[in-house]
Amino acid sequence: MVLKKTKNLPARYQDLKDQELVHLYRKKEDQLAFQELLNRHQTKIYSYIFSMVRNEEVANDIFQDTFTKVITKMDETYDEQGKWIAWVMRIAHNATIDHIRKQKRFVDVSGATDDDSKDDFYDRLEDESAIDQQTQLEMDESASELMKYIAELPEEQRTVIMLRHYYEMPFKEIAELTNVSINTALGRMRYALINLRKMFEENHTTQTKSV
Amino acid sequence: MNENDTDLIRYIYDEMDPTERMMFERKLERDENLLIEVETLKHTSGKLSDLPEVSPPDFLIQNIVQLSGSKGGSGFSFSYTLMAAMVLFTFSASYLMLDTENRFSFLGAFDNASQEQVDGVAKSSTGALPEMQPWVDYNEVLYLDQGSATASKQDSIFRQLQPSMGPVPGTMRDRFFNSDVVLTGSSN
Repeated sequence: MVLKKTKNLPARYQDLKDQELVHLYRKKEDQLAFQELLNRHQTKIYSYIFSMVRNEEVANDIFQDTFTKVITKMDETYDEQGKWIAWVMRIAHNATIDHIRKQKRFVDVSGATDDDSKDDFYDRLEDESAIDQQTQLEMDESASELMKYIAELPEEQRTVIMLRHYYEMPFKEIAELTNVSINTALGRMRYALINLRKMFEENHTTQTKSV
Repeated sequence: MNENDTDLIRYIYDEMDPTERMMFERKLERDENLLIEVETLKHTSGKLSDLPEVSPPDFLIQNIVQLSGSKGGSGFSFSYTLMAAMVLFTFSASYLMLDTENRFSFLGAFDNASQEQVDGVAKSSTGALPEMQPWVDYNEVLYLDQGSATASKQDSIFRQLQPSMGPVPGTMRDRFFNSDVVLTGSSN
């Protein structure tokens, strides 16, 4: 995937910190400052959402909802003391989790014919149809495989992995964002890595056998 | 989850302070299993760097940029709300002032009513000129029984009482023109 940058932003904006850009946008209604913020973080936020929902249309909706809230609620709910991106990520994360839980409830209620052994909603979706064809083509094989494994992780482990990977978010912040203790967040990361390792090993074993 | 398990993740993701890190490395030297686990998880974690970054579509970014412009911050809506409130206040104040002027002109018209008109009304309603019965209510507002009074009698009573009369508190007129006097006529 190629990172698309917003064009024609004056260079001076690139030297400013997030906090300064937020201040410019809030106090002086400087739209370019907002564009620079969007430019800096759009890919990571979108990647996080996409990796969690694995559906381009849904990811688009959640991304747009997130920024609509960011724009409309910034003056009411964001105090400039905290990191702006952590605040945005909280909105994105909550919107994503809301969607996943709604979807899960929907699948739980309507998917009576599904295999009972599958406890994650990703297991109940047909992966190939869930991922947009174009996107699927753009991903290289290993990345696609990795995404598939991550999608098989329980939601809470997947969340920790994605927040850490895309945002290099400290575990303390991940714990705050997901409303758990730091030890729980660390534990989830450990289990996520152990589970991924198992999946890699199983895949490797299968490939060896087939050869 | 024991301490080693959480420390292990903090070690891999470089979230230990130097002292903790040194102590954990000493532990690793002593515990081969722990060392193997650290290396295995580090390897798995390293694979995550293959995770792709996905850019949002251009149209989505354009929508958001447009939205950010139309929002104009809450300062936009606040300033317009303030302006709207000021315009509304100005109109309300103007209306009240005009209303007061109208009441003045009405009172003026009443005061300047011709003797004939008043007499005509009095005569047509009663056929005779009874004595005026001015009365004062608990707010000390003077009432003249205008239906049965002549203008000359009203004038004489008014002149007698004028030195002791004052503005009626709590009326709209009183708020705007403290120096005026409200005369209230009974409708009987």
